[in-house]
Order: sequence, then C-alpha cells, then structure tokens
Amino acid sequence: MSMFDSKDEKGGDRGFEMKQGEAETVIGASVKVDGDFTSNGNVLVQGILNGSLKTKGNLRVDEGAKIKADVQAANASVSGEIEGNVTIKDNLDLGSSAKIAGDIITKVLSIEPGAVLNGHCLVSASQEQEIPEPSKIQKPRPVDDKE
Amino acid sequence: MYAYFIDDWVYNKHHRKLDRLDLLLTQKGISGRKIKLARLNDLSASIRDCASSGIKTFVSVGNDTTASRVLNSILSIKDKIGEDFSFVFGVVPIGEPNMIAKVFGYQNIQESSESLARHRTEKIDLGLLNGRHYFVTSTIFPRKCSFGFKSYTISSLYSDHHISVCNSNIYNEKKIINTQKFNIRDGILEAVIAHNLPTSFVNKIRGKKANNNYIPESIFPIKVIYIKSKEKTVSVNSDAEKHFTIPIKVEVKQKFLEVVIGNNFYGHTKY
Repeated sequence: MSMFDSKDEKGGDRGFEMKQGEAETVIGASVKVDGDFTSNGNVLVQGILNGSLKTKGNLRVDEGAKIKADVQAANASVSGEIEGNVTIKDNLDLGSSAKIAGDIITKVLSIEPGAVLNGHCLVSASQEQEIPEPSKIQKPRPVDDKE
Repeated sequence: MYAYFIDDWVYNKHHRKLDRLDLLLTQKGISGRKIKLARLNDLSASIRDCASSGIKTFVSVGNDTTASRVLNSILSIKDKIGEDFSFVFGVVPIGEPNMIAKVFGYQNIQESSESLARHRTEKIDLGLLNGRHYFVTSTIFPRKCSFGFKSYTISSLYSDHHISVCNSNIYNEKKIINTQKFNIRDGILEAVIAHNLPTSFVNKIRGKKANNNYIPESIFPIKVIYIKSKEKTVSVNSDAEKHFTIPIKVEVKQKFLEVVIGNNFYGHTKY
C-alpha cells in the first residue's frame, strides 16, 4: 500500500501521512523562501515561506514552520502556521499545533483538538461543486414598440 | 587504448605509488600513453594528439583537481570537434581529496586498475557552471550566496551554513535527511543547504573546534538554478577551486559522460 493512500490496511480512512524521507523538496527550519514556489513532487516545509506555494504532490508543514502564502496541494498535513487560503485536492489533516488564518477548500478534512482555524471552510466531495459559478444574469428583452 | 594524465606533483610526492600503478597496469595489459601534467605543458594539444591516435579511454592520475582539469579540457575539445569524438573517462586516485574516484566506485590504485582492466562503463550526469566548467560531484558556494529560481529565491537565515549544488552525495549518507536523493543518473541536481553539528559540551571544554561534518537540512531538486550573491565575483569549490562572476548559472547535462565504473559505483548504490 502506498504511503499516500488515504485508506489503511483494514479499509478504513486514516487520513494523509507523509514520512520525512518521502519528501522530494525539503525547506529546512533555517531557510526562507520568497516568491511563488512551485513543485511537482512532495514538499516538506519546516522553515519560512512568503509568497505562494503550489505543488502537484503532497505537502507537510511541520511544527514551527511559518507560511504566509496561498497554498495548493494534492494532500496536506499541517502542524505549523499558514496565513493564506489553503486549497487541497483530497485530504487535509490539521494537527494539534496547526494555525490557519485563511479559507480552506478540500475534499476530506480532519482536525485534531487544539488546532486553530480562522476562516471559511468548504468541504465537498467533488471539486466542481465547491466553487459554483455565478448564474448568468438574464438581460430583459427589449420591448417592441409595435406590440 | 588508454591515455594516463599524471599530475606533476604525483611524480614528486607519490613516486612509489606511481611505480606500483605502472606494474599493475602492465600486469593487466592496459598500459598506455603517459602524459605529465606540468604547468607549461599544453594539455589540449596532448588530448588532441591522443584522440587522433584513436585513444578512447582517458584516465586522470591524481586527485579531484587533476580529474577536473583533465575532464574539462577533454570536454572543451569535444565541444569543438563535435559528436565524432567519443571517449570514456576514468580516474586513478592518488592524494586527497578524491571524491570523484569514490563516486565512480573505486577507492585505491588496486581497485581502479582492476576496474580499468574490466572496462565496465556507465553514463552519468554532469553539472555545468556558467556554460563552461563541468563538475562531477558538487559545487560548494560561499556562505552568503542564495539560490535563485524563476519565480522565487531561497536564502539561509544563518551565515554559517554550507551551500552547495550536488550531483552525488558528498554528505554522510547515514545521517542524510532524505534517503532517495543524490542519484548521479537521474538528470537532476540537488541544491542543498546544510548545517554543521554543534560542538558538544565536553569538546567545548577541551577547546576542540567544530568538525566539518555537515548535515543536509534543505534539499531542492533542480535542473537549472542561478546562484546570487552581493559580491561580484565568488570563489567556488567545484571539484577544483574556480572563480566565477555572479550570477552563476548551474545546469545539469543528463547522462553526458561515460565513465569506467567499479564495484561500488554510486549510481548502483541506494542510500
């Protein structure tokens, strides 16, 4: 079973888990990233990130990490601080030390006791339903003078 | 056919090892042309001469600086000649540091001569600095440098960190944070920020200084990266010491160099 599967051996949902050795990109505790960070693989954040963070892989934000950015990832496990909107395709786990100031959009959300969340939260089974497009405004038909 | 490029200082300081190497090469039937790398010798002319004689295996005898010098000279000639010139590169490790020989999978004269006789080859990636200097293992930059990507920059919060771009693992593999990294054949380099282990209390009392064992803390897989610094010119250690103007473009050349490998070749080793 892959480490990123959301189901455990018994078939139950156990959330998302990423071990340290599986991360392709590691932003260490004493490193600062400024700008729009993009990656195709798994990302582990332990330091500071300002700007935006986008990855097609999974994201782990360790305790002590400070992210001032909008975040997008496939799965995420957060134990640090995020100041910005968080958009996760599948699973989002908030640990007991997680602090999020921003809106969350995800498919599956699990929150441990002690996690702080300031913002709107949209949890939906399908991504299409999450952000409904505003309906088109129908213009009134011009009144025909002959009628 | 083999050509051996022997560094000048090897003749002076390691003449016994050189005699032993001579004997081993003769016993294994791979004795070839020997070229002494003196300061005034024209290395490019010697390489051209070897290439025109049909020699396909070029072997550097010395340390990493020797290997880097020979390799870069061969590759600059290859750039001029074009694809018609193919060669295999090997190393006989004499003196220190000799990380390149370790990456190729041999640690001493005996092992390297056996590997040269067996002539098992693999293609490996090479790093390229500013489009002109190739490196096999890694490039270590001054501590105040930062990594620049297209849309973001990465800088260390502390000034005592070790900043490098690695093709192979130059750090202690047992303590490495990310175990699947540093593959020399994956077409990717690793930009690494490493920190030094703090000196223990006992060692502090004894007056011992911090050792140079760095542990990678941040790892960024890259294909192209720009190194930035406040200084205009920086000195880097890229197999050999070199000076470059800022910004330095570092890129990877995937499976660019064919090398003679030994039993402990890094490309076969999983950390």
